Amino acid sequence: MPLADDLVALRDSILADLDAAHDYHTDTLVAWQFARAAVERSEPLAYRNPATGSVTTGQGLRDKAERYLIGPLAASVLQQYLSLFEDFVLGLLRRWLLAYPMSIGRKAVTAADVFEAPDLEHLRLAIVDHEVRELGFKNVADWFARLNSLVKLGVPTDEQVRQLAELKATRDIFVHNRGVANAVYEEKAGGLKRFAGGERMDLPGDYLQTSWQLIRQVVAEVADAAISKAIPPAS
Amino acid sequence: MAETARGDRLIFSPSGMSVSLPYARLAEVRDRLDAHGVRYWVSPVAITLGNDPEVTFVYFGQKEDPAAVRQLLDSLP
Repeated sequence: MPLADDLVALRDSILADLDAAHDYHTDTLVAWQFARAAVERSEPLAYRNPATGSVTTGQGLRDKAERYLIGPLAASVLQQYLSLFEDFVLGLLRRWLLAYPMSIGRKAVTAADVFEAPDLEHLRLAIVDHEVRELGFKNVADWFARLNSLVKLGVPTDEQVRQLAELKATRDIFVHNRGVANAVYEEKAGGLKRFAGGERMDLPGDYLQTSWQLIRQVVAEVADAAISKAIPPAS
Repeated sequence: MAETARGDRLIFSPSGMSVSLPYARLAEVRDRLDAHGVRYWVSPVAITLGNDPEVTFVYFGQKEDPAAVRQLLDSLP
């Protein structure tokens, strides 16, 4: 598949999945709010979880509705948004490097890599995958610096990169530190940090909405810029 | 407006960190919270159950004092 077509497919699938993740968040929010409203109307309700033996009454469900919405649901949705963002950027880099492998430049390859590869195509794939994997451990600013070193896109803006870095730092705190900010968060979030080390972080609905809009905008703009550069000039 | 058990009441969660309210009252609630610098976010949807008026939800920032916020909103006419 020509690179431009491949990038269109990547862009469209990531944007569709971002929309699906947003729908999931809204639909789940609505489901929990219906449950809460029903309890507040004094609708009788009780159920038991046979696996744990936990019994939840209407009042209990009402408490959980609030706790789940502002806690686990928000954290899981943010993780989905960030996973899609990472898939997009690293997927774009991988596709670009596969199309233009010479842009990797000088790269040491072990003898084992060479001798174990059944052909040159496999070796090329292995080198590109290694390059993208290494980049995945770096920070967001490095990702876009590398991308712009391969092809001058002019997007995203420095401010968008800083916002994305704060988002990713927030996601890391929920994945690795149970939602409590630490020095690593402060360093990665820089001037946009929302919490100091030791503080429990929250994920308000407006923060999630802004995050989704930012990621969607950056995916669309970066993809469109890359697609325009990937289309060969008409002969 | 249909007569319901809810009426036009604001109903706080037990933790006090959120409140459900008739959608028709959202503007006055927002005005009061904004005037006092309370951090909050509003559910993006309003829902309807039975013949009740549309209900929406306001969630307060975790640094807010639930008792103080409740006092603010309880004093609404």
